[in-house]
Amino acid sequence: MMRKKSLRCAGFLALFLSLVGLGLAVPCGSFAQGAKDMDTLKVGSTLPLNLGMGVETKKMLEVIVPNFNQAGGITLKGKKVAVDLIIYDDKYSAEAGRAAVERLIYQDKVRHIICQIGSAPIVAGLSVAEQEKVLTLAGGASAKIVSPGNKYTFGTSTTRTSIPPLWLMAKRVFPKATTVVFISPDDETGKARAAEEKKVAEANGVKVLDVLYYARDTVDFSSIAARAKGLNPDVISYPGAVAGTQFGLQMKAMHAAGFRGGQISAITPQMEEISAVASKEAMEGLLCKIPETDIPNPSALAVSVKQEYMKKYGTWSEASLTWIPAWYAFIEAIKKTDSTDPDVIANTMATKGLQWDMPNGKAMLVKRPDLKNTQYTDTCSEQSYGQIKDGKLAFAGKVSLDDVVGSCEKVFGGAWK
Amino acid sequence: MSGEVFAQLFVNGLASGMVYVLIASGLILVLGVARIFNFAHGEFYMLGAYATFAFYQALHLNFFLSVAIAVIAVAAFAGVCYRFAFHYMRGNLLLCAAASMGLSMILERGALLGFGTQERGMPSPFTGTLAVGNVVVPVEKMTVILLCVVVMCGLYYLLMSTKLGKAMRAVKLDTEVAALQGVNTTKVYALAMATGCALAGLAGGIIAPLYSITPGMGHTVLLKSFMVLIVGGLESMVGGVVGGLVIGMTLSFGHYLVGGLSEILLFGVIGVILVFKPGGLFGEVVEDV
Amino acid sequence: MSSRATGRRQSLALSLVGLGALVLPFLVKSPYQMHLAIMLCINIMLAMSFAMLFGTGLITIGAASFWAVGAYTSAFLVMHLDLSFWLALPLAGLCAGAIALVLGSILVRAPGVAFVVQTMVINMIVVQALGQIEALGGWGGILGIPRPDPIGSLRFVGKTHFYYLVLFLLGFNLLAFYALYSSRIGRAWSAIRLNPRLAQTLGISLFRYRLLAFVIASISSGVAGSFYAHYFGTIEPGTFSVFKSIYIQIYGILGGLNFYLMGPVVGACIMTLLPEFLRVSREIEPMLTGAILVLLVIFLPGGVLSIPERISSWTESMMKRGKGSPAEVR
Repeated sequence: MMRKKSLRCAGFLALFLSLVGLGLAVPCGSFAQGAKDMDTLKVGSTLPLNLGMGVETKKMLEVIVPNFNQAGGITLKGKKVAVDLIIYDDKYSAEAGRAAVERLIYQDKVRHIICQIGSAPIVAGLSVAEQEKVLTLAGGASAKIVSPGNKYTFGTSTTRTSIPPLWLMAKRVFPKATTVVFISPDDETGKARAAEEKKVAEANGVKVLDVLYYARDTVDFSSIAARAKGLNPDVISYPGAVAGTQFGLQMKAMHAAGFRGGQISAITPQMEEISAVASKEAMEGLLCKIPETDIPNPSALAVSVKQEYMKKYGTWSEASLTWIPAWYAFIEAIKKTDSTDPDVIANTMATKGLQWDMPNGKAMLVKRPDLKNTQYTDTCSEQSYGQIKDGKLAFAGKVSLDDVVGSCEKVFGGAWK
Repeated sequence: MSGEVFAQLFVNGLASGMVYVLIASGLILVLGVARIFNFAHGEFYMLGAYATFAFYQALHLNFFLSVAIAVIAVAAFAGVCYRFAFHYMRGNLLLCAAASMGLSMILERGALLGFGTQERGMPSPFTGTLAVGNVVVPVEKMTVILLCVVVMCGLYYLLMSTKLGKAMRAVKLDTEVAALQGVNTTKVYALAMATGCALAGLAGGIIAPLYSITPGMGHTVLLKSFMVLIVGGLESMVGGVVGGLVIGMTLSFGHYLVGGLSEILLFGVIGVILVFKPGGLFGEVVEDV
Repeated sequence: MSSRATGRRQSLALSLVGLGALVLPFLVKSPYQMHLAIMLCINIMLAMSFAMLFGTGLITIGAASFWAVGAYTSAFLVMHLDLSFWLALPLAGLCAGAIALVLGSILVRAPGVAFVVQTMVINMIVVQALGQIEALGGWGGILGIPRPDPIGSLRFVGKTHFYYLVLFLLGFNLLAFYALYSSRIGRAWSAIRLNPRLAQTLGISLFRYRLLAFVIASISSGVAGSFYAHYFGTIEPGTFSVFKSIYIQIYGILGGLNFYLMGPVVGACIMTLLPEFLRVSREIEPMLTGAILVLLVIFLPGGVLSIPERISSWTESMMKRGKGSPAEVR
């Protein structure tokens, strides 16, 4: 009996130690590999590695950054510098996100944090980053990120500015629509996008019959679809929806409820995932964003990024492009200022703005006078739209950067440029 | 609300309610017999869905066969989990709860990394709609309801008429006395866990063609399943059935009537029930844990 | 070993830990590690409130709700009613206590597993309500919560001042809880936990004493919430979810449920520091944390603090075997 016990204890100790050892031994190679005689610049990021989009973004960065370093990296005051990107898991939560940001700033001594996705971790880490004068080029969809007073923080995701140009296209594709119903997740993003889209729709002469909210993790949309169908709108819009099977399920439910009108959304649908749950008929005619890689005459950058990604992983995922604008903005900002000092970069970006190329099109910083921010803080990018025809996403049109900014100015007011 | 819409919402509520019933029955079995507050229950639901998908898609098996094999696989896996973890703390509710939380962490992240980030979907083996009068209901929902009813009947038969079922009920009532009667309590605990998690896996498999298969699907279903227990009473199978249907119906009609406030409505309903019956509709208020 | 000796050993251990805690900012240079220390202290306070309830036989999966009440109340009082943090802190605690009083008088009547799930529901309701109420920031939460007002030379800019504040709060908590546990009330709680019916026959009102524990535990959580809000600077409903409550329960379990004061300390240490320590393993960290959690529960059912006792009983039985007497079969 005693022997068995001490055997168990020994087994436990061995297992425990090997687990901890495994945990410490597992980290993957540094991003700065391939940078032989170069200085390195440590840059930080936190991603929700408990969600698909976080893992996808990490995979994309693991392709882009080493290739960038191999191609010469950043040229800073004549010297070549490689970027060592440190990514921590923020679990899409404020607590883990804040701890990750604190670790990046105080332990790893980064001065720049890019490509974060979730608003909760971004906002939680903001206060520390601002206090320590760390440049944050964040994704996220919350308006709090671009509120005035965040000197070193810039919103590089285009979610906040994606609705007005969508409706430019919607008017082209569904010119006869006079009524719309919104189906939106009940969270910060959903509510904000729905409120914005209401303004936009009404500015475009389309009446919003109702906004139907669903709990964030809903999969059963039959009741909402029944309600939406009952209102009989010409068009259904999905502000704040997440690309993926959930979106497919919404369209499936709308179709099953008998809705045959137009559908629009500002997201880039994950065609493989959506096709797995929704029939071709359910998706038919959806107006949505199309990834740059799938339009006729894609930019050279888009093509090369897709090639590099496929070379490493063998497959392609459009989702990976959604959350990497910050990387390109970062590189461009350093190029423009020839400095990595957050003060210099933040100052230049805030007062002079920034324009950069990324796989999903050209982008630029804009002011948000409607959010009382008269400095350059948010991002607009040119938008390519597609319509789903017979189960495939076909190019429907492009809205230029100038038109995107113009449409935003018209709806939200103020001078954005 | 027209009669048509009412009927649709009713069928919808019935379908999703029955799925909650399945999952909750498993939870009640595990809680009542094996005394485990299983926070990893949602993960077994998810595994059932993935297993069904794997057998259906990769091995091109018939849907029912895929579900059947998936259920057996999940049951076996749950039995293994029991033997290597919960067995050592059997009877202790809190310790098992903590261990199940650890198991949940392992399975959830393991699923994301192992199955990949791409969310999956299964084509429905039962497309089309059924028209009864002027009410149109999707066939797949009716199949779900039918399957759940069949399974619940099977569960009833298992618990009431088979030796194992009687052993489980005996262990639930009083473990010590059951042991005195010659019941191998350890085996019963393990089988209860296996059966309970198999029920969750079965629910996952049945639901897979209707919705989607994602690594996080267990996470989202967990809290709702506990809500079923809260409404129905923690250790009553009948309570599980009633609770599941109440929740399914409330959500179905709630989404239609009040949209985003359906969650609040649900809590309101639960609150009202708890005010009148603090232990749940069929629950008992017991002194010790 | 005589109980005097174990008592002295315990006091020695405690004093060492206390001393270490006091000088921590001088030993630890990185503000990141100070952040972990501060979050650890908050988690310890939360775990202690769970342990207090467990000490009366009530298991709660709703500890985070009172943490939320404290945080939101404090933020609201300071930002909208212009109160000083030093006033908002106790008020937040009292507000949490008041709500606990109202809720508790309904819930505590039905202890056992019903209580567990009812507290779970309350937690879910609190999160949902906080998300829906736009005046409290909705799902995005409240931003820009100001730091505590400076007192004397303490300015609360760096981590050190916050650390000493939370250490003070934690110490106050520990002392208050210790005083309660040693008093007649604590003995009544033990009696209730060991055998409720017997306690009743002794004239101990189960309801009153449990309600008292519930309210005190909630006040403690509320105070922790207020500190958290002003330290973190932002609060959002997702932080206070049922999963946080479950984690709080685990903090209590890991340390040892029989150790009402030090158990939560040890448990919170493990669950707060382990994931950070394992951060290097990136994606698979939750799997490792989960595995270690399971292993700890299997091999140390009495909690980490039961190790000394197990070692001593193991050595005792080894010595007995050596003397030729039959080994104790466990």
